[in-house]
Amino acid sequence: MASDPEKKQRELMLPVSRIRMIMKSSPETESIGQESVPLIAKATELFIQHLIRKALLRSKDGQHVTYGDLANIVQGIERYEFLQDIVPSKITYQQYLEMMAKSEVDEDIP
Amino acid sequence: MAEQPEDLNLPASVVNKIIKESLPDGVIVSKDAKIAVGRAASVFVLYAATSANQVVTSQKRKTMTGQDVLKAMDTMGFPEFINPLKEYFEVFKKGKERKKEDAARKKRAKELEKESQETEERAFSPPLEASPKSSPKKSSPIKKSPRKSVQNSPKKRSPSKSPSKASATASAMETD
Repeated sequence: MASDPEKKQRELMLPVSRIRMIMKSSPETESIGQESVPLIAKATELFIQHLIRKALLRSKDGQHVTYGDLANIVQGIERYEFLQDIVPSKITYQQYLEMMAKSEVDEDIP
Repeated sequence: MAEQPEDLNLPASVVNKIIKESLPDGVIVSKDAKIAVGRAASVFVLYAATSANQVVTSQKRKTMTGQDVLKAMDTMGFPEFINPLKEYFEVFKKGKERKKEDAARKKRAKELEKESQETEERAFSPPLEASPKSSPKKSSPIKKSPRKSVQNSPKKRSPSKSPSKASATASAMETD
């Protein structure tokens, strides 16, 4: 019989088949070795754990994690750069109008 | 067959469970934050696959191995994942070996059981000490115990028979 911590380490929560499907959706990946799929699944679990804990540290009261807390991390830390388009910061409509006005000015300059 | 776009999302229920287990009790995560984490995780899978693949192509190989995934964590900027992943990898490999061993052991045990049963059938009274060793299951000693009692019983019965014989002769004598 396996002891409990060992069992927890071995257990994968994310479905391997779905992970493999996402991996295969990239046109670059040629041949995926058998052992690499559960490893990436486990890495993804660690990533979720890591990301949400970081967000909790950024939260205002240490009790509520909001989208803004996540966006703050993604926009502020270099290694989360790959998520910039996935978790963009939310902006107000006023800010949006200002941004659009600014970009129009920028386009006029050249 | 093209995959549906929703096939590239991770199941929300599992993602929510991981989120919940990662945080202390009582912490509330807003709904849009949960969805964002799920999407981020999907992109992480893709990012990890691409990074591992870069390791593979840089070494002019074709197949992505576990080592490539570990190396990719470093290039992605998540080196602290490598050690827990290595631990998981070891346990995973051991678990696989154990499964194989278990299957092999079961097969062997079955064969041995079959063999011991055959020998039992061939020789009606095999040496009692040898058979429990060869058969790992406890069923065979249990099976043997009634046979043992059968062997013993004639001895027990024989004294009881003689009085009946004696009584028979006695009754015969009485009639005479």
